[in-house]
Amino acid sequence: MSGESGSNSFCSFPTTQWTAIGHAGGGEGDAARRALGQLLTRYLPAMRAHLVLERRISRDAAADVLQGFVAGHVLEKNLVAQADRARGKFRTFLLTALNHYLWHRARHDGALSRSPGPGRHVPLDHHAAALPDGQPGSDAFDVAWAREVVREALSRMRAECERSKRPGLWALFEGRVVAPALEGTEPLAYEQMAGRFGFHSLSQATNALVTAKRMYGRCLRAVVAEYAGGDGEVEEELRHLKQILAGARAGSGSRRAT
Amino acid sequence: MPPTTPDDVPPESLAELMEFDPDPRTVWRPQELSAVFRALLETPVRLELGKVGAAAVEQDGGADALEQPLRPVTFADLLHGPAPSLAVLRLVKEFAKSARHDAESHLPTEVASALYCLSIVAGGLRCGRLITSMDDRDLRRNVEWALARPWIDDASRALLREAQVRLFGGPGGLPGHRS
Repeated sequence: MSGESGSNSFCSFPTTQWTAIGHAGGGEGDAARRALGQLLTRYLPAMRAHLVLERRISRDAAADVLQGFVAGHVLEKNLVAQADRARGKFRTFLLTALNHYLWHRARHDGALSRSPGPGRHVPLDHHAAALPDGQPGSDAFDVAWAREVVREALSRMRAECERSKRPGLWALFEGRVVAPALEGTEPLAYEQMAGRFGFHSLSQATNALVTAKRMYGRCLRAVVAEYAGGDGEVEEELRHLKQILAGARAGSGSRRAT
Repeated sequence: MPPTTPDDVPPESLAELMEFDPDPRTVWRPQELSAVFRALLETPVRLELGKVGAAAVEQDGGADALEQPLRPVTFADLLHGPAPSLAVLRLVKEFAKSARHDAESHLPTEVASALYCLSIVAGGLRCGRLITSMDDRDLRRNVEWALARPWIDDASRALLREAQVRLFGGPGGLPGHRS
Protein backbone atom coordinates (compact mmCIF):
# COMPACT_ATOMS: atom_id res chain seq x y z
CA MET A 1 0.00 0.00 0.00
CA SER A 2 1.16 3.50 -0.54
CA GLY A 3 1.38 5.81 2.36
CA GLU A 4 -1.88 7.51 1.51
CA SER A 5 -4.03 5.56 3.90
CA GLY A 6 -4.37 8.36 6.34
CA SER A 7 -3.73 5.90 9.12
CA ASN A 8 -3.79 8.43 11.86
CA SER A 9 -6.09 6.58 14.20
CA PHE A 10 -5.43 3.47 16.18
CA CYS A 11 -8.15 1.64 14.32
CA SER A 12 -6.91 2.39 10.80
CA PHE A 13 -5.73 -0.44 8.66
CA PRO A 14 -2.02 -0.73 9.28
CA THR A 15 0.38 0.24 6.56
CA THR A 16 0.31 -2.91 4.46
CA GLN A 17 -1.51 -5.65 6.24
CA TRP A 18 1.06 -8.37 5.72
CA THR A 19 3.89 -6.08 6.71
CA ALA A 20 2.00 -5.35 9.90
CA ILE A 21 1.46 -9.06 10.43
CA GLY A 22 5.20 -9.51 10.03
CA HIS A 23 5.83 -6.80 12.59
CA ALA A 24 3.21 -8.19 14.94
CA GLY A 25 4.70 -11.67 14.73
CA GLY A 26 8.19 -10.29 15.08
CA GLY A 27 8.41 -10.84 18.78
CA GLU A 28 9.12 -8.31 21.50
CA GLY A 29 9.32 -4.56 21.42
CA ASP A 30 6.97 -1.62 21.25
CA ALA A 31 6.59 -1.77 17.49
CA ALA A 32 5.57 -5.43 17.59
CA ARG A 33 3.12 -4.81 20.41
CA ARG A 34 1.64 -1.81 18.59
CA ALA A 35 1.27 -3.76 15.35
CA LEU A 36 -0.33 -6.66 17.21
CA GLY A 37 -2.70 -4.30 18.95
CA GLN A 38 -3.78 -2.84 15.65
CA LEU A 39 -4.32 -6.26 14.15
CA LEU A 40 -6.40 -7.43 17.09
CA THR A 41 -8.46 -4.25 17.11
CA ARG A 42 -9.20 -4.81 13.46
CA TYR A 43 -10.08 -8.49 13.70
CA LEU A 44 -11.81 -8.76 17.09
CA PRO A 45 -15.26 -7.65 15.82
CA ALA A 46 -15.14 -10.31 13.10
CA MET A 47 -14.06 -13.00 15.55
CA ARG A 48 -16.76 -11.94 18.03
CA ALA A 49 -19.38 -12.03 15.25
CA HIS A 50 -18.25 -15.51 14.28
CA LEU A 51 -18.57 -16.81 17.84
CA VAL A 52 -21.93 -15.19 18.61
CA LEU A 53 -23.74 -15.40 15.28
CA GLU A 54 -22.22 -18.46 13.67
CA ARG A 55 -21.34 -20.66 16.63
CA ARG A 56 -24.28 -19.47 18.73
CA ILE A 57 -22.17 -18.78 21.78
CA SER A 58 -23.50 -16.22 24.25
CA ARG A 59 -21.86 -12.80 24.27
CA ASP A 60 -20.39 -13.37 27.72
CA ALA A 61 -18.97 -16.73 26.74
CA ALA A 62 -17.66 -15.26 23.48
CA ALA A 63 -15.84 -12.51 25.36
CA ASP A 64 -14.33 -15.17 27.59
CA VAL A 65 -13.31 -17.28 24.60
CA LEU A 66 -11.70 -14.33 22.89
CA GLN A 67 -9.81 -13.35 25.98
CA GLY A 68 -8.50 -16.88 26.32
CA PHE A 69 -7.67 -17.11 22.62
CA VAL A 70 -5.76 -13.84 22.59
CA ALA A 71 -3.91 -14.50 25.84
CA GLY A 72 -3.20 -18.19 25.35
CA HIS A 73 -2.67 -18.43 21.61
CA VAL A 74 -2.07 -15.07 20.03
CA LEU A 75 0.22 -13.73 22.73
CA GLU A 76 1.65 -16.72 24.51
CA LYS A 77 2.24 -18.90 21.45
CA ASN A 78 2.91 -15.95 19.12
CA LEU A 79 0.28 -17.26 16.73
CA VAL A 80 0.69 -14.41 14.26
CA ALA A 81 4.26 -15.44 13.52
CA GLN A 82 2.91 -18.67 12.02
CA ALA A 83 0.79 -16.86 9.42
CA ASP A 84 2.05 -17.44 5.90
CA ARG A 85 0.86 -15.28 3.04
CA ALA A 86 1.52 -18.06 0.56
CA ARG A 87 -1.05 -20.24 2.33
CA GLY A 88 -3.99 -17.90 1.99
CA LYS A 89 -5.82 -15.09 3.69
CA PHE A 90 -4.82 -14.02 7.17
CA ARG A 91 -8.42 -14.00 8.31
CA THR A 92 -8.85 -17.64 7.24
CA PHE A 93 -5.75 -18.49 9.21
CA LEU A 94 -7.09 -16.64 12.22
CA LEU A 95 -10.52 -18.20 11.93
CA THR A 96 -9.03 -21.69 11.69
CA ALA A 97 -6.93 -21.06 14.76
CA LEU A 98 -9.95 -19.70 16.64
CA ASN A 99 -12.03 -22.73 15.69
CA HIS A 100 -9.31 -25.09 16.86
CA TYR A 101 -9.02 -23.20 20.11
CA LEU A 102 -12.78 -23.39 20.53
CA TRP A 103 -12.80 -27.12 19.94
CA HIS A 104 -10.00 -27.80 22.38
CA ARG A 105 -11.60 -25.58 24.95
CA ALA A 106 -14.98 -27.28 24.59
CA ARG A 107 -13.29 -30.66 25.11
CA HIS A 108 -11.55 -29.28 28.13
CA ASP A 109 -14.83 -27.89 29.49
CA GLY A 110 -16.45 -31.26 28.88
CA ALA A 111 -13.77 -32.93 30.91
CA LEU A 112 -14.20 -30.35 33.66
CA SER A 113 -17.95 -30.92 33.78
CA ARG A 114 -17.30 -34.63 34.27
CA SER A 115 -15.03 -33.81 37.19
CA PRO A 116 -16.36 -30.52 38.56
CA GLY A 117 -13.97 -28.14 40.16
CA PRO A 118 -13.56 -24.39 40.51
CA GLY A 119 -14.43 -23.01 37.03
CA ARG A 120 -12.06 -20.50 35.57
CA HIS A 121 -14.25 -19.49 32.65
CA VAL A 122 -17.76 -19.70 31.21
CA PRO A 123 -18.26 -23.31 30.08
CA LEU A 124 -19.09 -23.82 26.42
CA ASP A 125 -21.87 -25.84 24.92
CA HIS A 126 -19.92 -28.66 23.32
CA HIS A 127 -22.26 -28.86 20.33
CA ALA A 128 -22.08 -25.14 19.63
CA ALA A 129 -18.32 -25.25 19.67
CA ALA A 130 -18.00 -28.44 17.65
CA LEU A 131 -15.98 -28.01 14.50
CA PRO A 132 -17.80 -28.67 11.24
CA ASP A 133 -15.93 -30.28 8.36
CA GLY A 134 -14.00 -27.82 6.25
CA GLN A 135 -14.47 -25.36 9.08
CA PRO A 136 -12.69 -22.17 7.97
CA GLY A 137 -15.66 -20.63 6.13
CA SER A 138 -17.84 -18.37 8.27
CA ASP A 139 -20.42 -15.94 6.92
CA ALA A 140 -20.62 -14.02 10.17
CA PHE A 141 -16.86 -13.61 10.25
CA ASP A 142 -16.77 -12.44 6.64
CA VAL A 143 -19.75 -10.10 7.09
CA ALA A 144 -18.08 -8.53 10.11
CA TRP A 145 -14.89 -8.26 8.14
CA ALA A 146 -16.72 -6.64 5.22
CA ARG A 147 -18.07 -4.07 7.68
CA GLU A 148 -14.52 -3.23 8.69
CA VAL A 149 -13.50 -2.87 5.06
CA VAL A 150 -16.43 -0.57 4.24
CA ARG A 151 -15.91 1.47 7.39
CA GLU A 152 -12.26 1.99 6.52
CA ALA A 153 -12.97 2.83 2.87
CA LEU A 154 -15.56 5.42 3.89
CA SER A 155 -13.22 6.88 6.45
CA ARG A 156 -10.46 7.20 3.90
CA MET A 157 -12.68 8.78 1.32
CA ARG A 158 -13.88 11.35 3.81
CA ALA A 159 -10.29 12.09 4.83
CA GLU A 160 -9.23 12.39 1.20
CA CYS A 161 -12.05 14.84 0.49
CA GLU A 162 -11.05 16.92 3.51
CA ARG A 163 -7.39 16.79 2.58
CA SER A 164 -8.07 17.89 -0.98
CA LYS A 165 -10.47 20.58 0.28
CA ARG A 166 -13.46 19.05 -1.43
CA PRO A 167 -15.92 18.66 1.41
CA GLY A 168 -18.76 19.07 -1.08
CA LEU A 169 -17.74 15.88 -2.81
CA TRP A 170 -18.03 13.95 0.44
CA ALA A 171 -21.36 15.62 1.24
CA LEU A 172 -22.63 14.67 -2.20
CA PHE A 173 -21.48 11.06 -1.83
CA GLU A 174 -22.89 10.88 1.67
CA GLY A 175 -26.27 12.21 0.60
CA ARG A 176 -26.49 10.22 -2.55
CA VAL A 177 -24.88 6.88 -1.62
CA VAL A 178 -23.85 6.47 2.03
CA ALA A 179 -26.96 7.68 3.87
CA PRO A 180 -29.33 5.72 1.63
CA ALA A 181 -27.29 2.56 2.22
CA LEU A 182 -26.72 3.01 5.95
CA GLU A 183 -29.82 4.91 7.02
CA GLY A 184 -32.34 3.95 4.37
CA THR A 185 -32.94 7.55 3.33
CA GLU A 186 -33.89 8.53 -0.20
CA PRO A 187 -30.84 9.43 -2.27
CA LEU A 188 -30.48 13.16 -2.93
CA ALA A 189 -32.54 13.98 -6.01
CA TYR A 190 -31.09 15.93 -8.91
CA GLU A 191 -32.98 19.09 -7.94
CA GLN A 192 -31.68 18.86 -4.37
CA MET A 193 -28.16 18.33 -5.63
CA ALA A 194 -28.39 21.28 -8.00
CA GLY A 195 -29.71 23.54 -5.24
CA ARG A 196 -27.26 22.43 -2.57
CA PHE A 197 -24.09 22.12 -4.60
CA GLY A 198 -24.77 24.71 -7.30
CA PHE A 199 -24.69 22.43 -10.31
CA HIS A 200 -25.70 24.26 -13.46
CA SER A 201 -26.24 21.25 -15.65
CA LEU A 202 -26.94 17.57 -15.64
CA SER A 203 -23.41 16.87 -16.85
CA GLN A 204 -21.90 18.74 -13.88
CA ALA A 205 -23.98 16.75 -11.43
CA THR A 206 -23.27 13.46 -13.18
CA ASN A 207 -19.55 14.14 -13.37
CA ALA A 208 -19.40 15.00 -9.67
CA LEU A 209 -21.20 11.78 -8.76
CA VAL A 210 -18.96 9.70 -10.99
CA THR A 211 -15.90 11.36 -9.48
CA ALA A 212 -17.14 10.59 -5.97
CA LYS A 213 -17.94 6.98 -6.80
CA ARG A 214 -14.58 6.45 -8.44
CA MET A 215 -12.81 7.97 -5.46
CA TYR A 216 -14.69 5.60 -3.15
CA GLY A 217 -13.87 2.70 -5.45
CA ARG A 218 -10.19 3.59 -5.22
CA CYS A 219 -10.38 3.76 -1.43
CA LEU A 220 -12.18 0.42 -1.26
CA ARG A 221 -9.63 -1.22 -3.54
CA ALA A 222 -6.75 0.28 -1.58
CA VAL A 223 -8.12 -1.16 1.67
CA VAL A 224 -8.55 -4.61 0.15
CA ALA A 225 -5.18 -4.42 -1.61
CA GLU A 226 -3.52 -4.18 1.78
CA TYR A 227 -4.35 -7.75 2.61
CA ALA A 228 -5.13 -9.32 -0.75
CA GLY A 229 -2.41 -10.07 -3.27
CA GLY A 230 -2.36 -8.69 -6.79
CA ASP A 231 -5.16 -7.06 -8.78
CA GLY A 232 -6.80 -10.41 -9.48
CA GLU A 233 -7.03 -11.23 -5.79
CA VAL A 234 -8.37 -7.77 -5.00
CA GLU A 235 -11.19 -8.20 -7.49
CA GLU A 236 -11.88 -11.71 -6.24
CA GLU A 237 -11.99 -10.55 -2.63
CA LEU A 238 -14.34 -7.67 -3.50
CA ARG A 239 -16.63 -10.09 -5.33
CA HIS A 240 -16.51 -12.47 -2.38
CA LEU A 241 -17.34 -9.80 0.19
CA LYS A 242 -20.15 -8.46 -1.95
CA GLN A 243 -21.60 -11.95 -2.35
CA ILE A 244 -21.32 -12.57 1.36
CA LEU A 245 -23.12 -9.32 2.16
CA ALA A 246 -25.80 -9.74 -0.47
CA GLY A 247 -26.48 -13.34 0.45
CA ALA A 248 -26.11 -13.14 4.20
CA ARG A 249 -29.05 -14.48 6.12
CA ALA A 250 -31.02 -12.03 8.18
CA GLY A 251 -29.24 -11.80 11.48
CA SER A 252 -25.97 -13.31 10.34
CA GLY A 253 -23.82 -10.31 11.00
CA SER A 254 -26.41 -7.56 11.31
CA ARG A 255 -26.11 -6.03 14.72
CA ARG A 256 -29.35 -4.19 14.09
CA ALA A 257 -31.09 -7.51 13.66
CA THR A 258 -29.65 -9.18 16.69
CA MET B 1 -28.28 11.87 16.42
CA PRO B 2 -24.86 10.33 15.68
CA PRO B 3 -24.30 9.20 12.11
CA THR B 4 -25.16 5.62 11.31
CA THR B 5 -22.15 3.38 10.94
CA PRO B 6 -21.68 0.17 9.00
CA ASP B 7 -22.24 -1.67 12.31
CA ASP B 8 -25.90 -0.83 12.39
CA VAL B 9 -27.17 -1.94 9.02
CA PRO B 10 -28.22 -5.27 7.56
CA PRO B 11 -25.58 -6.91 5.37
CA GLU B 12 -27.64 -6.59 2.20
CA SER B 13 -27.72 -2.79 2.62
CA LEU B 14 -23.99 -2.79 3.14
CA ALA B 15 -23.59 -4.69 -0.13
CA GLU B 16 -24.52 -1.47 -1.91
CA LEU B 17 -21.31 0.02 -0.59
CA MET B 18 -19.35 -2.79 -2.19
CA GLU B 19 -20.48 -1.53 -5.58
CA PHE B 20 -18.86 1.35 -7.33
CA ASP B 21 -20.06 1.08 -10.89
CA PRO B 22 -18.16 3.87 -12.61
CA ASP B 23 -20.42 3.96 -15.68
CA PRO B 24 -21.82 7.50 -15.77
CA ARG B 25 -24.89 6.24 -17.64
CA THR B 26 -26.04 4.29 -14.61
CA VAL B 27 -25.59 7.07 -12.07
CA TRP B 28 -29.28 7.90 -12.21
CA ARG B 29 -31.91 5.41 -11.13
CA PRO B 30 -34.75 4.49 -13.49
CA GLN B 31 -37.25 6.35 -11.32
CA GLU B 32 -35.15 9.50 -11.70
CA LEU B 33 -35.26 9.64 -15.48
CA SER B 34 -38.14 12.08 -15.43
CA ALA B 35 -36.11 14.58 -13.39
CA VAL B 36 -33.02 13.90 -15.48
CA PHE B 37 -34.88 14.50 -18.73
CA ARG B 38 -36.50 17.65 -17.34
CA ALA B 39 -33.08 18.90 -16.25
CA LEU B 40 -31.69 18.22 -19.69
CA LEU B 41 -34.50 20.16 -21.36
CA GLU B 42 -33.79 23.16 -19.13
CA THR B 43 -30.07 23.10 -19.90
CA PRO B 44 -28.58 25.49 -22.47
CA VAL B 45 -27.74 23.51 -25.59
CA ARG B 46 -24.32 25.12 -25.87
CA LEU B 47 -23.42 23.95 -22.37
CA GLU B 48 -24.06 20.31 -23.16
CA LEU B 49 -22.61 20.18 -26.63
CA GLY B 50 -19.25 21.30 -25.32
CA LYS B 51 -16.45 22.96 -27.21
CA VAL B 52 -16.60 20.68 -30.22
CA GLY B 53 -20.29 21.19 -30.58
CA ALA B 54 -19.97 24.93 -30.11
CA ALA B 55 -17.30 25.13 -32.80
CA ALA B 56 -19.46 23.12 -35.16
CA VAL B 57 -22.35 25.45 -34.48
CA GLU B 58 -20.17 28.38 -35.48
CA GLN B 59 -19.18 26.62 -38.70
CA ASP B 60 -22.72 25.65 -39.51
CA GLY B 61 -23.92 29.15 -38.96
CA GLY B 62 -26.13 28.09 -36.09
CA ALA B 63 -24.38 30.15 -33.43
CA ASP B 64 -26.88 32.98 -33.59
CA ALA B 65 -29.69 30.52 -33.22
CA LEU B 66 -28.30 29.41 -29.89
CA GLU B 67 -28.37 32.80 -28.24
CA GLN B 68 -31.30 34.99 -27.46
CA PRO B 69 -31.14 38.44 -25.92
CA LEU B 70 -32.11 37.37 -22.41
CA ARG B 71 -30.87 33.81 -22.04
CA PRO B 72 -29.21 31.03 -24.00
CA VAL B 73 -31.32 28.55 -25.92
CA THR B 74 -32.20 25.44 -24.00
CA PHE B 75 -33.00 21.99 -25.33
CA ALA B 76 -36.65 22.71 -24.59
CA ASP B 77 -36.50 25.96 -26.61
CA LEU B 78 -34.97 24.07 -29.49
CA LEU B 79 -37.18 20.98 -29.49
CA HIS B 80 -40.47 22.62 -28.58
CA GLY B 81 -40.03 25.96 -30.32
CA PRO B 82 -41.83 26.90 -33.53
CA ALA B 83 -38.74 27.50 -35.69
CA PRO B 84 -35.62 25.71 -34.46
CA SER B 85 -32.32 25.87 -36.30
CA LEU B 86 -31.89 22.77 -38.42
CA ALA B 87 -28.10 23.02 -38.03
CA VAL B 88 -28.40 22.93 -34.26
CA LEU B 89 -30.92 20.10 -34.41
CA ARG B 90 -28.40 18.12 -36.44
CA LEU B 91 -25.75 18.71 -33.80
CA VAL B 92 -28.12 17.68 -31.04
CA LYS B 93 -28.99 14.53 -32.97
CA GLU B 94 -25.30 13.65 -33.36
CA PHE B 95 -24.68 14.46 -29.70
CA ALA B 96 -27.51 12.15 -28.65
CA LYS B 97 -26.40 9.44 -31.05
CA SER B 98 -22.87 9.37 -29.71
CA ALA B 99 -24.16 9.55 -26.12
CA ARG B 100 -26.11 6.35 -26.68
CA HIS B 101 -22.91 4.42 -27.40
CA ASP B 102 -20.40 6.30 -25.27
CA ALA B 103 -19.66 4.62 -21.95
CA GLU B 104 -18.40 7.95 -20.64
CA SER B 105 -21.52 9.87 -21.55
CA HIS B 106 -23.36 11.45 -18.65
CA LEU B 107 -26.72 10.87 -20.32
CA PRO B 108 -28.60 7.70 -19.46
CA THR B 109 -28.98 5.64 -22.63
CA GLU B 110 -32.77 5.93 -22.61
CA VAL B 111 -32.66 9.70 -22.29
CA ALA B 112 -30.11 9.94 -25.11
CA SER B 113 -32.35 7.77 -27.30
CA ALA B 114 -35.36 9.99 -26.63
CA LEU B 115 -33.35 13.11 -27.40
CA TYR B 116 -32.17 11.52 -30.62
CA CYS B 117 -35.71 10.77 -31.69
CA LEU B 118 -37.04 14.20 -30.68
CA SER B 119 -34.36 16.09 -32.61
CA ILE B 120 -35.25 14.18 -35.78
CA VAL B 121 -38.97 14.68 -35.26
CA ALA B 122 -38.54 18.40 -34.54
CA GLY B 123 -36.53 18.76 -37.75
CA GLY B 124 -39.22 16.95 -39.72
CA LEU B 125 -42.12 18.91 -38.28
CA ARG B 126 -40.66 22.39 -37.84
CA CYS B 127 -38.02 22.56 -40.56
CA GLY B 128 -39.52 20.23 -43.14
CA ARG B 129 -36.42 17.99 -43.19
CA LEU B 130 -35.98 14.55 -41.72
CA ILE B 131 -32.37 14.57 -40.65
CA THR B 132 -31.98 10.78 -40.58
CA SER B 133 -31.29 7.88 -42.85
CA MET B 134 -33.75 5.73 -40.91
CA ASP B 135 -36.69 4.52 -42.98
CA ASP B 136 -40.20 5.53 -41.96
CA ARG B 137 -40.93 2.24 -40.30
CA ASP B 138 -37.90 2.45 -38.00
CA LEU B 139 -38.52 6.11 -37.28
CA ARG B 140 -42.13 5.35 -36.40
CA ARG B 141 -40.95 2.60 -34.04
CA ASN B 142 -38.60 5.09 -32.42
CA VAL B 143 -41.44 7.55 -31.93
CA GLU B 144 -43.65 4.85 -30.42
CA TRP B 145 -40.84 3.76 -28.14
CA ALA B 146 -40.28 7.34 -26.93
CA LEU B 147 -44.01 7.84 -26.39
CA ALA B 148 -44.09 4.77 -24.21
CA ARG B 149 -41.50 6.24 -21.81
CA PRO B 150 -43.40 7.34 -18.72
CA TRP B 151 -40.86 10.05 -17.96
CA ILE B 152 -41.30 11.98 -21.22
CA ASP B 153 -42.63 15.48 -20.48
CA ASP B 154 -45.93 16.75 -21.88
CA ALA B 155 -44.46 19.09 -24.50
CA SER B 156 -42.22 16.37 -25.92
CA ARG B 157 -45.10 13.92 -25.82
CA ALA B 158 -47.20 16.39 -27.82
CA LEU B 159 -44.40 16.70 -30.38
CA LEU B 160 -44.17 12.92 -30.75
CA ARG B 161 -47.96 12.61 -31.13
CA GLU B 162 -47.94 15.32 -33.74
CA ALA B 163 -45.25 13.35 -35.57
CA GLN B 164 -47.40 10.25 -35.46
CA VAL B 165 -50.22 12.13 -37.12
CA ARG B 166 -48.37 14.36 -39.56
CA LEU B 167 -45.47 12.12 -40.53
CA PHE B 168 -47.03 8.69 -40.30
CA GLY B 169 -50.77 9.24 -40.66
CA GLY B 170 -51.66 8.44 -37.07
CA PRO B 171 -50.61 5.96 -34.36
CA GLY B 172 -49.73 2.63 -35.93
CA GLY B 173 -50.54 4.04 -39.34
CA LEU B 174 -48.79 3.23 -42.56
CA PRO B 175 -45.53 4.97 -43.25
CA GLY B 176 -46.37 8.41 -44.46
CA HIS B 177 -44.62 10.95 -46.59
CA ARG B 178 -41.40 12.70 -45.76
CA SER B 179 -41.75 16.44 -45.57
